[in-house]
Amino acid sequence: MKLKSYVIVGAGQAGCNAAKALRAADPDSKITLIGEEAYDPYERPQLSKGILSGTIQTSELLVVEPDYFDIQKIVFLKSSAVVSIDPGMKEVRLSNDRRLPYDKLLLTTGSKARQLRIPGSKLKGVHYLRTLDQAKALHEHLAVAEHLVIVGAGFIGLEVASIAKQYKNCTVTVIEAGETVLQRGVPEEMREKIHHLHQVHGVKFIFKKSAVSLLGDDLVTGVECQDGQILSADCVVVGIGVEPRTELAQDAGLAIQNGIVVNEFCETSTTNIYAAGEVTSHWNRQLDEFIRLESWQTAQLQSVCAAQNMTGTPTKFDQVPWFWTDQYDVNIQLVGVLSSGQQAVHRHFDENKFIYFYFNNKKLCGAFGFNTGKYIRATQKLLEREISPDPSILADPEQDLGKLLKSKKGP
Amino acid sequence: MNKVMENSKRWIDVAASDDLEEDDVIKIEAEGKAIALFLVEDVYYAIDDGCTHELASLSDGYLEDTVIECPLHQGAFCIKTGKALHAPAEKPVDTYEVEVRSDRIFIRL
Repeated sequence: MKLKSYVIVGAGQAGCNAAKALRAADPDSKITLIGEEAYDPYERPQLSKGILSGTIQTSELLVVEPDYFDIQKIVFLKSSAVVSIDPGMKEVRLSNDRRLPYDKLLLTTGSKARQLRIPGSKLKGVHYLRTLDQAKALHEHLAVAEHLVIVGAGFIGLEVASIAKQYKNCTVTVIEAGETVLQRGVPEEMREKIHHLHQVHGVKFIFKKSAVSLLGDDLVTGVECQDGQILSADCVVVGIGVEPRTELAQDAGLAIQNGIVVNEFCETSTTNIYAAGEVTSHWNRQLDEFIRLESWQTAQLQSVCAAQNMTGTPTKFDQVPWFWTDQYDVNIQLVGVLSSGQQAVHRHFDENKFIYFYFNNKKLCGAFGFNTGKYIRATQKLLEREISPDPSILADPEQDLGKLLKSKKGP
Repeated sequence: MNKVMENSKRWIDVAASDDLEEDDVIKIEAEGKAIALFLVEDVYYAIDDGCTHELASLSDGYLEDTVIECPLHQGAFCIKTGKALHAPAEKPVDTYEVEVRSDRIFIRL
């Protein structure tokens, strides 16, 4: 019998986890994992945290042990780019013109950092933060930088600001075109609390202004704002969001809409091609619409789900979105789908430990909290089981959410 | 296990039995170690408090039955055996023997 051949394009956390799950489900198959970077697959969350601060080692990011691919007989092609997919021939073509046939193909191509397209954006000292090499370069530069300017007050920009303030000796200024921090998908209370957290630590914010030019001859020396104000800078970090890497899928004729469109079984619009991780636009039960989530959770879980479907065990991807960020000594988490207009109640423990729960017509929609991972997890379980406790119960620190779940576990 | 090591272990008084409620976890320090102490269905359990995946305190995590989840990444461990049950945790955590003597809880370290 001919062995099944699985090809995975994209060797990040999603691709590697899919390879593991494929091997577990189909021990005799041929599995090829293809990645552009020169490293073994690694997790990205620590790039803007432990790698930037220098408190953790590169080896700690690895998704699998270095000998994993040999032991599991998975062909791992690093430093390799796929240039096209031919769904008719069922093969992918690599940049060295090699062709690889597949029975089932998985796209885990992830995202790329959105580029700042203004004069001077190619100067030395201007950084992005998406890859390990970029994180290491920024770590080294921050050790000697005096004036850091961060373009964009999203999660990456804020995590960089917090590391710079905690571990480095530079001034930190964040310039953001919007009115405040975290303009997307985050409730107002969370913006206020995080903004305040950074102000307390001495980060300076400039809102409602865009950077129009980066100044300098070779090295960056400053950032020019739209009103002519010039911010002195010897280090600039651009954190203005990411874009899904859909080019290959698009060229191959797959349906694209804010990501590669997949159904709940991680199938794309083209037979035998699946997609997983943050490149996908997938159905969300709570919202009843397609969403793309730039998160560890999607990379971790949707990839495994895709592998199960590819190996003949139909499995729906149905996760309540969950996300975390670490800033200063605060672990901040968000669960569910939050939007403006929802009613909030909160449970307060102390200044750096609290949780806000959000409701829409008495229906629980989600929560965010500082240093309250346990409560966030309980909220996630409430959402999974579609339980909406009375808001006053959630607000009361004396009420145990675990017990609430236990009593409503079902018949 | 090495005999000398085994003999060098001793029982240490770490908490009062009513420091924990049913379905509860607390963090204690003993012999320089951080340990998570649990009470589930009238049985006490003790495991290392540090998650084996990344630096996090399991006692801050979510407990359901005898499974504790890390508050950072939701990696999960069995509090009876220390076994990692859910990615991203893969390595087990150490477990410790627990005894209740009168109203005090002792663990063997």
